[in-house]
Amino acid sequence: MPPGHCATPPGGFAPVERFLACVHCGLCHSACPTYLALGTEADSPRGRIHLMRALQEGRLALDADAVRHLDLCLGCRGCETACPSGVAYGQLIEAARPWIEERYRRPWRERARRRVVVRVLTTRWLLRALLAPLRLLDRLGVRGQLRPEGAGTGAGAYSRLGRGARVGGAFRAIARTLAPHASARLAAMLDLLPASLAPRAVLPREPASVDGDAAAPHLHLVPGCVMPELCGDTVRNTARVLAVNGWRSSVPRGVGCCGALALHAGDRAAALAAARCTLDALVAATPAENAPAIVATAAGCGAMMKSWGELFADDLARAAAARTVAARVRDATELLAQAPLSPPAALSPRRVAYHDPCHLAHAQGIREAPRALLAAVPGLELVGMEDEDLCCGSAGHYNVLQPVMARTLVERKVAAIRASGAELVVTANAGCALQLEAGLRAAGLTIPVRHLVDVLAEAYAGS
Amino acid sequence: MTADPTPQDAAAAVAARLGAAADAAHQACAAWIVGGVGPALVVRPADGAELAAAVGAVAAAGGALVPLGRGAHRDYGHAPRRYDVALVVDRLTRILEYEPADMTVSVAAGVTVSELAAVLAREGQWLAIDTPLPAATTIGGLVAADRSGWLAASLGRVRDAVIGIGAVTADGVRVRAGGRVVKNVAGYDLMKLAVGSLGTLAVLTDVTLKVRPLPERQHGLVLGADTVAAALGLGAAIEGGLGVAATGVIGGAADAAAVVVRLGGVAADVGVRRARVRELARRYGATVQLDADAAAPDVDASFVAVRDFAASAAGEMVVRLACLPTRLATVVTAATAALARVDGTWQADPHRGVAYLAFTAGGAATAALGDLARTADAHGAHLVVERWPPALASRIQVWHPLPPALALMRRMKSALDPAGVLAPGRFVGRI
Amino acid sequence: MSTTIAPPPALARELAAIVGADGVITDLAARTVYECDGFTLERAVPDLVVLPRSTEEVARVLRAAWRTGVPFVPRGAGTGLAGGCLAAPARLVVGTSRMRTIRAVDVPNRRVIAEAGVVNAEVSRAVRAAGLHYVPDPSSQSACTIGGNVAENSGGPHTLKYGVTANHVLALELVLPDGDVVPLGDGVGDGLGYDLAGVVCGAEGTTGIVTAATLRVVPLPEAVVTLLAVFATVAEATTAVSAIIAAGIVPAALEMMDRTIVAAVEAAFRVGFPTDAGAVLIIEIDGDAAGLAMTAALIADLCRRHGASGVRRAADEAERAALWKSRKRAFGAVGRLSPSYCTQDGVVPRTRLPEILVRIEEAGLRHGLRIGNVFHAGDGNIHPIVLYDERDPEEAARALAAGRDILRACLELGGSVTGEHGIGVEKMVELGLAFTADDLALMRRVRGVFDPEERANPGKIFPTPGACVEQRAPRRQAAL
Repeated sequence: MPPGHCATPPGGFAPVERFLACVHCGLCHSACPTYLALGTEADSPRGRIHLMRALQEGRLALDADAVRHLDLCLGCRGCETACPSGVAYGQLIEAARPWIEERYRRPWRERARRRVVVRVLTTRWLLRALLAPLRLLDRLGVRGQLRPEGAGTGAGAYSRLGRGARVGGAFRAIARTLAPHASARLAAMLDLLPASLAPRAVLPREPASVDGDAAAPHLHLVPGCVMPELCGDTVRNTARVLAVNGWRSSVPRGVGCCGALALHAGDRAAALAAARCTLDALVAATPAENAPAIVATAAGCGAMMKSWGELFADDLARAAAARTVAARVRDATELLAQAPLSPPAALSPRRVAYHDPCHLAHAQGIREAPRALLAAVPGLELVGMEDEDLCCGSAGHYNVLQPVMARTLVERKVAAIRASGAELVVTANAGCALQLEAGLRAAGLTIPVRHLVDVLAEAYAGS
Repeated sequence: MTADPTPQDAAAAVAARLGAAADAAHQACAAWIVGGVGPALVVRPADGAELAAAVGAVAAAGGALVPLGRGAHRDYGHAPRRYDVALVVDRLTRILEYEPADMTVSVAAGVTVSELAAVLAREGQWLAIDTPLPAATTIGGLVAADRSGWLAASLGRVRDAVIGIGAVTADGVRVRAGGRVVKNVAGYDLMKLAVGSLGTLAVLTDVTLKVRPLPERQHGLVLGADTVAAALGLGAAIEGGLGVAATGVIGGAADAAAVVVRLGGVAADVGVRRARVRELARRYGATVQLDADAAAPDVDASFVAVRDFAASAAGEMVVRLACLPTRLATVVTAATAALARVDGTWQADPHRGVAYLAFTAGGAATAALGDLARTADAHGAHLVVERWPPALASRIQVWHPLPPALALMRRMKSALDPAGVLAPGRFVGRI
Repeated sequence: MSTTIAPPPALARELAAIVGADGVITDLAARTVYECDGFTLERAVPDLVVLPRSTEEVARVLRAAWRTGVPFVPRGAGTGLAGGCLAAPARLVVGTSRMRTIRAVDVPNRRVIAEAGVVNAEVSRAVRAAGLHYVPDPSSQSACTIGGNVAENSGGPHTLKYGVTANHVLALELVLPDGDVVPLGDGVGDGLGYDLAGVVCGAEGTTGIVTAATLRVVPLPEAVVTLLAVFATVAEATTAVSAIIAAGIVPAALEMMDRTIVAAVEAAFRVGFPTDAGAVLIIEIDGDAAGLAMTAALIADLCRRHGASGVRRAADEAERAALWKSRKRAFGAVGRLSPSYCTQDGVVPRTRLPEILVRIEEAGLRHGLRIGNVFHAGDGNIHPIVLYDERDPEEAARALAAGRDILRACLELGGSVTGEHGIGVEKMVELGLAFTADDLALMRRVRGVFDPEERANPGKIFPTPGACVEQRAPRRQAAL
């Protein structure tokens, strides 16, 4: 029977047919990062489906134990790639999360943390304000001082850094005083930030092409919440690389959050509210004819927007528009790979490993396009890596909420990178790049990590 | 518990119960000596039911029996602790079921390997196990003594070919395990227990085997190498691959040795492989002494020489050494050095890590075995004394070292044959 | 008959002291997900799950259980299809999922020593660079573990030419139910004493817990050719199978799907199967490159002569992978045809395939149900898939009856009630039909050698009078 015609039972969150689709074969185990790390059934996709069904059917009480296993899910959807029966795991877990939030009261500290993290990451002025001191410290060259065990805390480095180091030390002391328990977590968060922050992305409101060709196809760029603040270069480079290949891009006014982060945190209302604004802005900006493609710079946003039809299914006023918009969404790599690529110049020869972002590979099924683009850059030699499509632990804000598991996963990834012999790691999602960079740094390795569009932009800059 | 009956009493009790199938004539008994011990009665049942009755009768009489086929491998293993009745299955000679398209065959235990081969060859098939002395080896003997030949590395051992058995337990009950299909996980795999157990757990009445299509072409090469190391290196370098490819290396007291290569498959593949083998021979400095179709008499003779080495090599003693393939050259070198004072020949299978040494040591036999045991211990190998002079029968340790799971094996024997009816004392550790 | 013995609370503490607190699962949520394996019809939530990390820990865990008289259920990845690791009647589960170390990769001697929790596919992965692979490849190979493979003596599509797990096991490390660690097999492959490792393979965890296996790995074939042949009827396809075998060819794999399955697979994966095809055969041959082309041509010719309307050769690795994906995921696609389905795992001698297919069709007609067929034609291993709606209890009962009829027909045709899924709790009744009481008594005596008190996975395999499980409804499960 076709999906969508199945009813969710009263008080539940998913039609029973979605659960029936799982034949309990267990093939998802080896694709699940948390199962690989723990070996416990409740931390595997099959186990979580089992748990979710037992919760919906009331066989199990919604308690801290049950919630812990579902919280530990990265939402990477690697299991969907492995599943022979086509179980829509992502839809199940995303439906379960708001259901849990409505019914389960977390300890206050955790509740507060979750709320703060989502709010900060999806509220651009707040994020900008919080990053401002860091930008200052970067300018002073002393951010290392913020990490209790980070590099640059040696005596030599301290004296060399002089005044700036004292500023950093003061910052750290304040943080420790204000939130003694949060200090380590803060440090972990800081570790995830890039070694230095690029200037914020200023977004083109009007479409522009490289050579002013007004006939070039137009596209709408959705830069997301975090990227313009944290990875400005990548946003700029996305527009630039697309422009070199004949696309004029612009960010329509009012385009903001896609709703993914809030939804993954189980806040469906906030997700819908945010997504509604962006959807409306995109619809308003779309001309009657030749609707432009929509490019999200983050894989998670792209995946979310591609499933907006599902998200807005109950919003009768927007359901049709959401489906139409969703059908226009493309990842930048998808667009670039579908036509002959404007030839990039050679880069210095290096062995490159490619890491598949989950929301690109598993959620959107995009695996070949990024590899084809890398292969098109003369000088780069693509080498194989174990578990290329296994989650690195970034997973949106997962690495902030589940730092222990996130670290375990990135350590596994680092070992794979090391074994691959790669001299450069490329991925196609900024969050993954930050996580991998932090992991490599923690392991004392100097292998650089770059976003694919940054690599392409560099190659185009040379041509 | 009452005292054990004398062999004569046990034999008389069994004969009285079985009548015509039993033969106590002195001449018949003399033909079935096992490890120097002779029976008091020979029983040759005509079918499985008679066989079960015979085992039941021996058990009831408190006696012991040794199951036998044609007797080709009867000296393998320790001398039985008690041996009243020779239970000879050579009248169980039916091909029970053979459907070539199923690639399986069910045969009674007394069919010889040669007889079966002839039946299979008519349908273009074979049992891909090159057993020594095939005309004198019954299928029951092949399985019980696990006579996997030199094709084992590429085509599998006896344990890989047996998919079903019919047997009689120590208390005379007929049982089955496995079946007639090539893929079957219903119930315990008791076939594995039967293979190589020398008739100490049950008496086989029939066996179902996987068979294969005969290769379109078979080909042989004999390569002469100047040194033992070169011969073993060359033998190991000749890839087992996926068709028939076997190498046997035969050497003597001199350092030189011959490598016998057997190839099989579709004609095109054999041609390519043959060229590869010749190229390898050149690289190892070996001379090609023979290179011809398997039907050529010389080639056949070289295959038979490898196949029957353990059975036909001259010498009072034959010892099998088994080790990791990479250690074979070291083990063979050390073993032949240990035997430097005695006359002997050897044969090795570089892919399985198995070597046979045949020699006559006279009064130094015990010392020679001690040397070989030390060699085995030093290289993680195990040795099996397959032939020895009768004088050593009571002292010899046929298997060395004893397996770590020996206690479990003893429990197996006492669970399946608590009264010690079936070849007691014949197996590993005199189980 | 084994009685249910719950592990006392003190045992949980003792086990936690052995494996660490995170290795003992006591909370209900985390235990609930261990209530079944790939066989979901029977369920039992274990009282305690323990996940040791080493042989030493397994030995100490079993010793502790032995002292307290508590029976246990060994569990690997839980991908079994016959309920072999159902936590009943024993309610202590000992899982090997944390024993994931490959202890040794010995390329020159072509062997790998893998712990029980190593995933099947990892073994091949560990030796791939050396041009070797581990042959047994059950469809669940990306998830199932070596310990489970040994317990079930797992097969896969390539067993026709290469045999099952037992044929590739050189030695085992077994922890007996009393905690003794016993190495079985010489690791050389020559045999020394009784072949106990051979008996433990396929014993479904009733002899103790296998903690490590020495496995034979072999060179990858020089070349592989995969063919797809399309037929108008299943009868023609089975005749072609016989013709291929009769020509002296042993394909590496020989798989068949009938009209129902082809339609489902095509709808799901768009492989390019003609949807009006009555049956398709996937034929894979491997070996030396020189002879392979000729063999492939011969097979194609044989297929055409026996009515194939088309024979296609996979042009490249991607096409080959797509063909295998369609076969290995066929059952997932069946979910699109029907709300529920159940699979059987019977075997017949290959020449009886046409007869069993008629019997399957008759069973479908008799019970008013649609039955699709996807099977390992070369081995005679059938997987009829009975389609039904589990929300209709009467129809569910008919589906169950149809499955039983088919298994009985397999026995009548000289076959077996399970080719690769095992007996577990599912087919204990059918095992009693396949063997006499004497046969089963002997097997139980052998089990007693390892496990005299029946502490290891009691209540499995052997039919116990009065204790047989009456199945209420067939299951929806993976067919491999």
